[in-house]
Amino acid sequence: MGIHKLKKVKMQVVNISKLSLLILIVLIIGCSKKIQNELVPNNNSGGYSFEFKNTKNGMSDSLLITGGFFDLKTRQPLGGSSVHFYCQKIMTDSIGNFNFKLSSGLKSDYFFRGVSIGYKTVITDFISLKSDTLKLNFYLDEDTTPIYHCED
Amino acid sequence: MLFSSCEQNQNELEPQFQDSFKKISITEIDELVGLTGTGISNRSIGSSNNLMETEYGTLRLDQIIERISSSEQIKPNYSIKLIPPSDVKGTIEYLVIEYSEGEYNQYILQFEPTGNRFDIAKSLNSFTGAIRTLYLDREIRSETNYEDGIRVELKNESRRVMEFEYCDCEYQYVESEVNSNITGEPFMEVWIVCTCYESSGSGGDSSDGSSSGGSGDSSDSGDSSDSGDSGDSAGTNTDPDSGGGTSNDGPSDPSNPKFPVGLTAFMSEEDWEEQINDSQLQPCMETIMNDLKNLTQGVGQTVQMFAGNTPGYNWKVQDGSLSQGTGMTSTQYNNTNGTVTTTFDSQAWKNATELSWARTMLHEAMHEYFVAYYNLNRRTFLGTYQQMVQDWNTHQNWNDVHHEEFARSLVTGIADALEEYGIKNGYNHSRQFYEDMSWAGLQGTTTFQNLSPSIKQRILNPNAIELTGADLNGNSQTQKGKNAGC
Repeated sequence: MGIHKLKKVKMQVVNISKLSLLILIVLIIGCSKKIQNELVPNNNSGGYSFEFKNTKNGMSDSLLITGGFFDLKTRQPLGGSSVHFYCQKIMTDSIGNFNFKLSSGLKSDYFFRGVSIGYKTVITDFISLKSDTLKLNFYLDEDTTPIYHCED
Repeated sequence: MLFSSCEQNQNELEPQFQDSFKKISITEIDELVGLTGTGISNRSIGSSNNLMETEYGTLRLDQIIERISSSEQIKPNYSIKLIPPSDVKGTIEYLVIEYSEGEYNQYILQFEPTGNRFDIAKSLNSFTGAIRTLYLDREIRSETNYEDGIRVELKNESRRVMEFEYCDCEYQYVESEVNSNITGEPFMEVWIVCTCYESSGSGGDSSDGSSSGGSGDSSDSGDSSDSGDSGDSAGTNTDPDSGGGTSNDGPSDPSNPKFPVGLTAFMSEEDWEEQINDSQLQPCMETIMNDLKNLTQGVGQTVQMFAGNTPGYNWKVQDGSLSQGTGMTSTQYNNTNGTVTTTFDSQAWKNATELSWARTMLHEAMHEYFVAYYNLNRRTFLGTYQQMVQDWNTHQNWNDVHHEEFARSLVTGIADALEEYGIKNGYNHSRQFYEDMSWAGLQGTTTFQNLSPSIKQRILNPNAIELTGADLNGNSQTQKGKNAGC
């Protein structure tokens, strides 16, 4: 009787250990998340931040890309902006937000251009799109280059 | 009805304003604290001369108004001209320090005209835009929107929960006997008194029986149609979420509003107007600019706007050496005085005719217009100039984007104004000449590049001749305009 009980307890421990390991693996593989909150600098004095994560073991059939545009100094949203990558151009809404989906076949490494009238364009480094969700925020600096009247 | 009694300039205050106002001058913050007994200094972060920097903007201590609203008022109210923070654009603001229920309260009175539709101070009765009161952290306390002087409802997405429903304001213009400390000339003063009403549900008796949504001021009687419109506008709204309220929200007794806030502000015309500041132009250029201010055709109307009172559309023109070109307009907008600066290099182009410079000034004026419009109301600009937004994706610089728009839509307008200038100065040139001249500076645009080689040649030659006295081949040619004498 005592031995039986001991074996049962051992079995439970093993089962719990297997379960824990499984949960751990799922957590590691299925919910990996990377956050780049610190602004990545850009040659045009603005920058960008990004955050991507996997929620389904990286097997999702599409990639959701969301984000927004902001004035670098005031952090006010910038409507009338657009995200460019490869042949695609995604316009933001009136308050600078955008979201779009990529099919899994397009998952690769891309760089993005954040463009907004009156602001210096920000170009990101290559970002891996082997995840399910990418949140990408652009912080743009005003373009204050003067306008010249050249006749010659 | 809102803005009443605004049409006629007067040299004394109307009865309802008499004994209400007093201009005072305070240069030391301690005096202001002493006057108000409030903690205004706890938000101040520095002061110099007549300016006091605060977290909510810069106070002009040389523009303070003291006002007693009624005989029952124990202590006076004050309003101080406020220069808003740099990220707040296109507004005219005052700090109001008001005595109520035993203590002084402070808030900001803010005017935000919509786009470029706010013409001149003397037409405040056709004001289009928003009048707001703000807390000192610049959160909105009340907001009222007007279309041609009539109160209108906010769109759904713009509605906010606010403490006050709306403010009715009165204006009066008085020719001041006090000389402007800037120009040394007598100037126009504008007195404003606003009375704000609580929004329903935020305290007070908000269900009393009046259906009037407009001002109850007696001076409205002469403009009953507007008053009725205003009242209807408020009265037909039954949306409980509306910032405009319901027909029961209006005061039953206009002389006793639910929240008897007497906002007071004093405006000199300097706040609203100005101007083309051409004091730093060469005399030869100043003469041309003065002629342009009187043009009425084409883009000449834009120059008139700069020369007039439209707030936010001020143009500083100056002479200076440039590394390239004949003129340069900054894309940086001075929010404090609503000014964009253009520099002309008159000394580098000694052979240029007055026609050439007049055209260049008209051209640069349109740059100024776009820069100011964009900075004053970016969202409206994006809606108005959608092709420029598209062009930015390609060019990604203002220089090209402006010029593409010029080539698309402003060549004729520049030609119209230049032709009017030419005629007024005794020239009798062909329309073709003025149209060709108006292309100067646009030779890099898509529109110009799509022209045939012969037309390009026809355009470029007279421009080169008027600028340098020589054609494209470097041969001296007779100019059609007189040398500007710079």
